[in-house]
Amino acid sequence: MTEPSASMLCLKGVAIGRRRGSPLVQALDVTVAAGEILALVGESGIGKSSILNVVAGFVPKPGRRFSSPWHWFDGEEDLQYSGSVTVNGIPIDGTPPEGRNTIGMVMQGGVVYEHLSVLRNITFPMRMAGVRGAQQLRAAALTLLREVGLFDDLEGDDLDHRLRKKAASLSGGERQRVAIARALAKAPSVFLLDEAFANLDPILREELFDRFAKLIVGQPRCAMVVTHDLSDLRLVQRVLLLGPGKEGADYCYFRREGGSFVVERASGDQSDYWQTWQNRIEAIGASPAPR
Amino acid sequence: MARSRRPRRVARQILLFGLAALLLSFALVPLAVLLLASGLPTTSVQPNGIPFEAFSQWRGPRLSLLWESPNRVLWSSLARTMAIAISVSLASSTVAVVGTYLVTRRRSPIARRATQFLALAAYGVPSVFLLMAVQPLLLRVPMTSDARVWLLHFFYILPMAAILTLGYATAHPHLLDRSAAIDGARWRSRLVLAYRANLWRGHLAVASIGALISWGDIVFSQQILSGSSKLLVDLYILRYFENDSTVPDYPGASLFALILAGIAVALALVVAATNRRGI
Repeated sequence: MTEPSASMLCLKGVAIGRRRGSPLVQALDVTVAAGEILALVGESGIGKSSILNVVAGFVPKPGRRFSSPWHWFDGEEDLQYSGSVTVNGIPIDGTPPEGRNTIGMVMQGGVVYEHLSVLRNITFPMRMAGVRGAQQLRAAALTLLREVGLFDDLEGDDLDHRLRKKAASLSGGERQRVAIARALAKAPSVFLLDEAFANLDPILREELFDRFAKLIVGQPRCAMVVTHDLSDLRLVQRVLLLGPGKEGADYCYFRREGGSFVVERASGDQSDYWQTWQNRIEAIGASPAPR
Repeated sequence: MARSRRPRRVARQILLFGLAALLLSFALVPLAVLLLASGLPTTSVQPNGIPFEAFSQWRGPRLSLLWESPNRVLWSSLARTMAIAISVSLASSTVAVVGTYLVTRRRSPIARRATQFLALAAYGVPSVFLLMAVQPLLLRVPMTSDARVWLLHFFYILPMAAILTLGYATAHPHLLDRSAAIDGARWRSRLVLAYRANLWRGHLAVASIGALISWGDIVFSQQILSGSSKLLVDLYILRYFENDSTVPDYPGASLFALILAGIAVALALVVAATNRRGI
């Protein structure tokens, strides 16, 4: 087992570009330490999800060799990247997504496998890793459910009944919890959330993000979160703001210090875009502390 | 206002009901005719039709006909027919399901449209013409006639299966694939997941349709041919090529088939270019 290092996730000199067309992100240096949540914000289409996809392994490097003939059929990504990505000091470039054991991801809207039971959904990564014992899987699922606060008021037959039900029967909030529990099942060092709580009502959304933050802050894990809801910034330690630059997106870094966000790396540009976003982020930082 | 709409609504419902009744009669009339015909005395069927008086002797279907010696061959033919139809359909639909799933995972509109075009163009060529095109090759390869028919039907059903399963495969969300990949699922597990989530429906539908098409093609020969020639139409034609020294105007027939295939290719091009999803 790899010991968590201070800079758990490290992106060095990462540039993301289209195969045919303009670059998306240039020379990005990001480090996320254990126990930290980094939020990625900025206008739509600026490259936030692409950065997450680089870390997840969905964006290839130029000239990447297919690790198996099956990978020829991988999605025709228009994007490719250069630079390096390391987790706990170990480079993960070139490793296909299914081989990135240190990464857990919750997709847009919280994807669940609707045709599988809740139990099989949560234990899916464990079964893919070769764990077969029914008792072991069930015990792990119950632990994960407790961590995400799902069905914690149930026990006995009621709990069994809910675990056996198809995930298609879950409500919106329950789906997100199952998706987080499934990502947790890999025991990842790095969590990636790509607008995972979109389309939820604000109260439920806030409750889920609070719970998610508790899973990261002070734990040997870190997270990168793409969000359009700036209220999420109340609970994050760092913010990466992406915006239009001369060649691809430029970026600006904020770090939480005390009760406010301070600029750690400013964008070279001083246009209204940066000023407006900086004001918004600083306003969130100055808002009352999270419950 | 509401009063003036009512007669129109009633008229529309009568029209729809009439259409539904017409469609139902299309399905039921042949069955009723078969039911009536199966109970007639054999001698009552004349070359110029069936006299109405014959129906006065109708006492229900004559099930004993099924066991009479001229029809014994029917049972072995039916068993062979069923075996070929089901195995061909299962094999071609399985290949189509896996193939279209993999093609759509590339998320390339060109790859998807090319698959759709090729499948439509290939399916547009009637099976008899397909047989004509490949028969010189089929006859050279050492295999039994049944195996030749199996192969022929496989390649005939495959494009149709690909056309139909392409829609199911396209509809399978990429986010599910990606989510499964990051959860540690390799290709085989992802395919199984996609199959159990969505693709099985397409497989079932296509395998059923394929079996019915093969079955229909084969059963047709059972009904229109007699004696030892109770073979599949395609096999009958194949035997014709094999045994008959007076080969018909093969180049002329090939040219005719080519023209029809050209029409099919042109139509396939239009459909593939304009259809964004499956059919």
